[in-house]
Amino acid sequence: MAIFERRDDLLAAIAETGARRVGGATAFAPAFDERILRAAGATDSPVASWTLAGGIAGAASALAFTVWTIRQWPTLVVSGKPLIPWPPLLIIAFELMILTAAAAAVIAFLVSARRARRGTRGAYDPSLSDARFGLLIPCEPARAAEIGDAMTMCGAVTWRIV
Amino acid sequence: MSDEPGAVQALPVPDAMRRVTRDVLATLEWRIPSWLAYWGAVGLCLFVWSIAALVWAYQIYTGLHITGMLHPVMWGAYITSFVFWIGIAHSGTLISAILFLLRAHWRTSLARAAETMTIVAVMTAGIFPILHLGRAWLFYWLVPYPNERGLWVNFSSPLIWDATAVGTYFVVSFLFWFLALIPDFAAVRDRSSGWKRWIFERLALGWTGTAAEWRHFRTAYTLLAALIAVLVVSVHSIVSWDFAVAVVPGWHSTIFAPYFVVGAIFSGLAMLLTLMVPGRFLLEIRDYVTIDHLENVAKLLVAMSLLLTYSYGSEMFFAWYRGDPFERAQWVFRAGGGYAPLFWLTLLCNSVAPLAFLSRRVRRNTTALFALSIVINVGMWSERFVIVVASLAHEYNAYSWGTYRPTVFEWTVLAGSAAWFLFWFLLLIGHIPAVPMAETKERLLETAPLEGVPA
Amino acid sequence: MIERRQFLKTIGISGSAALLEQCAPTPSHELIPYLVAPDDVVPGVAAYYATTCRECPAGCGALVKTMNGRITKAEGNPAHPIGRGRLCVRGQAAVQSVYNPDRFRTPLLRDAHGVFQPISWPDAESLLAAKLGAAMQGGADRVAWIGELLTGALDTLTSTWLAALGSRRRLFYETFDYEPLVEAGAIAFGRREVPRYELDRAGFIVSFGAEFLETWLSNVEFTGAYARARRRQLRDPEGTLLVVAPRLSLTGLNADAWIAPRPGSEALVALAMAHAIVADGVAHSSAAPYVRGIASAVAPYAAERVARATDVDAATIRRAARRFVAARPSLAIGGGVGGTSDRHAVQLELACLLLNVLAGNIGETIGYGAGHAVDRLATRNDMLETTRTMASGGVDVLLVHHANPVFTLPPAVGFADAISRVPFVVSFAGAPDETTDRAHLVLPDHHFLESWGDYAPRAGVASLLQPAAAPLFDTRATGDVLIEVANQITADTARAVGRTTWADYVRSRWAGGAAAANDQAAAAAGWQDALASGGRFEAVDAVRPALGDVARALAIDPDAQEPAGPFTFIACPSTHFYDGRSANESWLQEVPDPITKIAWGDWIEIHPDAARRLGIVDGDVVRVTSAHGRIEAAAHLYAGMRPDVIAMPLGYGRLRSSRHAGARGSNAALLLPPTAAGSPHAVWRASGVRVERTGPRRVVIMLQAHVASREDAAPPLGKIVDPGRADAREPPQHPPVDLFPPHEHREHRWGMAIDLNSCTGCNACVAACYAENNIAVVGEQFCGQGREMSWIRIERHAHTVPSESSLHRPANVFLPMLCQQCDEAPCESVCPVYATYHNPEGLNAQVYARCIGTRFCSNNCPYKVRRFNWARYGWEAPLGEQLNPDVTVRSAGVMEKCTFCVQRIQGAKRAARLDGHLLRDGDIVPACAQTCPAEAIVFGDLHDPESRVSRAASDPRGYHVLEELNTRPAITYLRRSVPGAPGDER
Repeated sequence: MAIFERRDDLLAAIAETGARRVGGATAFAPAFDERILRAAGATDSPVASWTLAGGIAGAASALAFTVWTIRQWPTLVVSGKPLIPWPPLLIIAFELMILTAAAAAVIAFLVSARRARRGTRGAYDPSLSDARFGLLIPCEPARAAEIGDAMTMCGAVTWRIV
Repeated sequence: MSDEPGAVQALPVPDAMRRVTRDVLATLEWRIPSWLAYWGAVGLCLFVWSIAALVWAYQIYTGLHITGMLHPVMWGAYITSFVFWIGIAHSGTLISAILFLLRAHWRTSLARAAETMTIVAVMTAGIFPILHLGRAWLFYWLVPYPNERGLWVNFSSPLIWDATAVGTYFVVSFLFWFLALIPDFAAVRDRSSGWKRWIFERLALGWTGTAAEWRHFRTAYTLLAALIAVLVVSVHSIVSWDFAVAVVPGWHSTIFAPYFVVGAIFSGLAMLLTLMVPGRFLLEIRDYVTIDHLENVAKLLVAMSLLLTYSYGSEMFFAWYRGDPFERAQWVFRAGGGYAPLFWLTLLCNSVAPLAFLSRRVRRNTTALFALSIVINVGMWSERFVIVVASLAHEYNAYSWGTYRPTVFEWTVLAGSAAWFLFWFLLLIGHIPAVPMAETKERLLETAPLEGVPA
Repeated sequence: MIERRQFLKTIGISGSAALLEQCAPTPSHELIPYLVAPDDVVPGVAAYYATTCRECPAGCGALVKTMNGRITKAEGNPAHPIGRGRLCVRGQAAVQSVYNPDRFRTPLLRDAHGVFQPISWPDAESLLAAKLGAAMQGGADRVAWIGELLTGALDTLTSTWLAALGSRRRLFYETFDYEPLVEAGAIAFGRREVPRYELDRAGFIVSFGAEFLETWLSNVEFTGAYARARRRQLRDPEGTLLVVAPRLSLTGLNADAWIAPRPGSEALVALAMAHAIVADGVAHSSAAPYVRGIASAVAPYAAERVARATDVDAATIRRAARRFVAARPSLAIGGGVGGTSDRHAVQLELACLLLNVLAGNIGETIGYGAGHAVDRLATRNDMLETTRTMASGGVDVLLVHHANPVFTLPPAVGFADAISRVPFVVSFAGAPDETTDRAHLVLPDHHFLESWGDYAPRAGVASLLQPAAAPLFDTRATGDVLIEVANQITADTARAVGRTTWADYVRSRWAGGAAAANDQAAAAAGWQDALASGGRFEAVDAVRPALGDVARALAIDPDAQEPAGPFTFIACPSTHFYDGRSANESWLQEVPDPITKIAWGDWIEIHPDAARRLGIVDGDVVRVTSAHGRIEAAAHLYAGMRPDVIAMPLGYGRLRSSRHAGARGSNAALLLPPTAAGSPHAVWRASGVRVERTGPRRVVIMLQAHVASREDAAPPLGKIVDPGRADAREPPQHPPVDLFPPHEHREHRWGMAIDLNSCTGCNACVAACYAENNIAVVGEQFCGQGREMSWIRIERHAHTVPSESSLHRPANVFLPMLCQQCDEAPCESVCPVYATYHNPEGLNAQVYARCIGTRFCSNNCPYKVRRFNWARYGWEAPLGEQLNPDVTVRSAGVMEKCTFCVQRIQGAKRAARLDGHLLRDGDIVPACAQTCPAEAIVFGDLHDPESRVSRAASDPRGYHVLEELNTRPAITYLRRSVPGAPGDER
């Protein structure tokens, strides 16, 4: 696990790991940065599709529910409108769609974020949430020292084995 | 700290980022004298809204006759305030979501305050529909829950649309607000100890900031922003339909939805100024919420004010053009009847006063900003009052015209609602990072020069 | 009309009505069960008793509805010739006076400190006997009786009783007497009687200020007749009614034309009309024998000559005269109370009789022979004489029976001082009033709905009173008291009246009156019929008396002007309080006055021009000063009168602090002289009064925001049409549009048609609705805040129709506004919890239990007929006893509204099912339609094309209020026909 002071060092380090053919490195950053993410290969996320599903489910269930409740009282005429007036139901459906979509997005984020953290236990360092960057490189103990030096070369302020 | 913008930008990136963390975390620590000011304000608010709560209790006990409402003006200050607070709730999301999608980066440092304001404003607005019920203790009948009588709610009623929309709006803006906070909570967690650490550990939900986490975070955040952007428009449109779908002259108008949305954003931005002009001193974040930010808000205000004026104009024009004698009578009454002073006050506050922001000197003068923001708040409240009350006071049937005046009880409740709003706003903003750290840092990285390394 | 079953029931139960006397008086807090239930008291089933309304001398027949032994509502008795099944607003409110919280609960005796102390009946009676015995020793006429108008049993009893006591001093005192009319009859035809007016047969009616739609003589009877006449005359370009009076009463507002002569000169107008008829030689053939005589009598009164004195131009008078003879049979009515009673009252009545002779109306629309109970009223002179005797100590015992002279006589008469000189004053009043305040002994009588008795308003109408419920309090029938007392004084007095009970006395009298008196069985049967039908009714042939010499009596100086002075003051009878007697009934206080729409308070009417001149605005406190006194009240600007006239309603300013009447406003009678100048008659005017603004504005509770339409208001909702176009079906300006397919009503579609041409705005329907639907009385404060609960209200809409020289067009429309039961009701879809919805029979149902009080429905109701319970309203005991068990009492925080009396609809359906027949048109009658004296409201099933409502709804005059909103109301209004009405406004 190597800690970097500057983003560019981290980017270099990631490139280095590529060169040394050690895959599966995990990069840590205090803030979102497109370059790091691209370098670290974190390019896609399931959240989007979850959200879409949530939205559709919400709208559908809203329509189903409202219509069902109205059908409970088939004589309840109001203002001479048909029993099942579409405009209001669409409004309800729309709102419910947004609601469930948002919920789905957040849940999806939580789940996949948890999955993303798997196997990084112990590697985390408080400074990573302040200004520093980190790179966790899985490798057999034998190569640890070598990679460590390489990291230092790239500008790692410190590195340790976790 | 000085007032010139972005003192941090001058520093080398890592130091700048450390500086950000330090400054923002400082806003969570309360020391004399700001401690006194802060808790004094919170306590005062608590006191005021407790009084209001007592009034409400009395109203439930004795009936709505303690209000000034009468036949035919069955809605008064309560509904007016409901619309007002919902309006306030709109700028928060506007600033966060829409400006985020538009990549208007100046929004970053205001976002946190604005979103907090949104949530609290919805919490405030949500009280009024229940408060004004004849039998408030049965408010839960508005919720479609399964019951032994097999009774359901009437989904054709605008009030149900309202409940749904406002409910959704609250939940989604809360999620949005909380999501953005997670990385910042992590930062606080790593810099605190003891019970504080315990709390923030749970709030941060184990955030470590790996690249993949950031990816998911950003995707979710963008999607929420998109959803909310749509929601903002829909919610206040629906609130406006409470009136627009009615047959009441002065309500029954198709322009209401856009008209209300504009008004909402307008009032929301004004309220943001009202809060942040003093707030940035209290929180000592003048370096992040700079005069430029405030000026940008002021610019938005001018735009909204012009849009609003246009809405007023077209509303009046069509009242005349439609040729419906009742609609026309309604406008004659508004401009010349018992509520005329409020009508003209509204125009003055919302259409004339904000034009002052056309001058750069005014826009960059915090005192002027604050004063004008208050004026606009007043104007927007009286606008809603005129719409709600004047229309009802002067309907089709000349037999049952009536004049409504809020009673001291109602005024107390209104004051209470403002206190309630301020109370929660202060509590929250005082105990969370008042400026989004992660995003500020992100901005720093983005603007930092790349030192020729193959990406 | 009442439902057939219930009518049968009344017949069924009537025989056992007597049982009620035996069955123990139920303490008011217990409902049921009785230990042994009388067989006419079935829990939850209404029993109806036929009796007579005694609120005023008209004597309308009433059917009293009782539930579980409690009186809940009074309705008209369809079998009764007077009222024909209808009651006026006061008759409807009569049930409230049964439960008046201020009623005397026991006999009371004034102690040494002048404070009333309860006393037992035996003690009270023996005390009275002793006092009377002593008075008898004092000599003749030491005992005086002043009481309400009596006929039949109690008349006989009191006269024999007083005779036995050696007194002839018995005065039937009514505030509003008809002395000039009686006297005129005597002069013209040698008949001291009030003739019988048949307005419905008249083609044209001229009323010289007689307010026959409100308080004059027999308002329910006349309202019905007038409405029938209007319906017949619908297409007449000149209309039906011409009113000649300086101020428009409710009757005046219902007129088609109005001539406003200088106050005091009405007689001259009438005489000028007669002169014109004679001059043009258009008198009717039947008048031939008299024309010469009349011609000489009216010679001095040429239209041109009186023009100056009357301020009416000759052309107008001629026009009226021509019209009057042309439209034969026509009818001229003279001398109302607020209208025209002044020193020329008799001459005016004579002039009217002459007009009727000339047009050949005698025996047609105006009949002598039947007479009227009011013929027997004491004259103002008798009252003055007795007052003097009392003042000079000539009376030892004064018995006051349901009269309140201390309040109703003008203070100038000095009755208050006189009565204080009487050593022993006994009152039989049921509730405290100004006169009982001066009584030493109070022997509370039963309320007339709890009593036996009879009353004959005119020959041929013998109307019976029977108790509808056991007495509420420890009261005793005055008849019983008199009998008991008589038996205690001396053997002679005992012999004179005999030992019996009042009930038996009435019964025996009745049997004695019956045709087959000797035949017991027949008598019993007659009694049963009488109990069932409410009395015995026969036709009486009108006589055609010959006209005597009237010339001498007609001596008026045609050029005479009323004594100088800025204003003439007119005290008008109150439509709601009559002379003030019913001012303690909260319904009558809360329902606004039909003309001014003011509730819970008095006012002084000033013409807008006069007000401008005096710098007075609406609500200013003004003082009116006459030679006899001064009063203060809030000004109300009223254009329906001459600018030189000031008017104020009687009945306010009750001194007695009873709950609602007391200490409210000021008494108009304070300004009045004891008699008209130079005549012995009562007068309700004071000339030469001064008016000044004394105080800042006072809050006047006016329930109608605006009567006349203003530029910030839209055209009036009550529409008018010119008689010429009454049949012209105008194409709908707003043909209904629909996005959705219409929903059909399978069995019924309840609907209503209201004929604005008939509605007189009398408020009877409003009071009926209060009684039927347990509508809360919110009281003065809440009324002032616009929170009254009435489900139906009478809106007054004033149109402006140009005057023709001195002939004005009141052009008023009274619009009964109640829930329109819209087919596409805006209120329904906005309710979040389905608390209001459209039921399968077309009703806009309101589910009180489900309502949570968002009040959106009311906001979205264009007619503003929904009422919200802003507070918890209660019923002061025992007023709660009156509540209708079939109708929910609504709690605070819920919305309520008219449902076409859904409880009656369901009741009728149940009844029909039990009877095994289908609902017939007319089986269901909502409370408002039931009582409407003008029969302007028709209710029924719009599905049945033959139903009366369907036919009425298809009338060319029909329209829906605010139909452009496409709400599809179930109520169709029929335009009022107003001569000279402009084309449709919108």
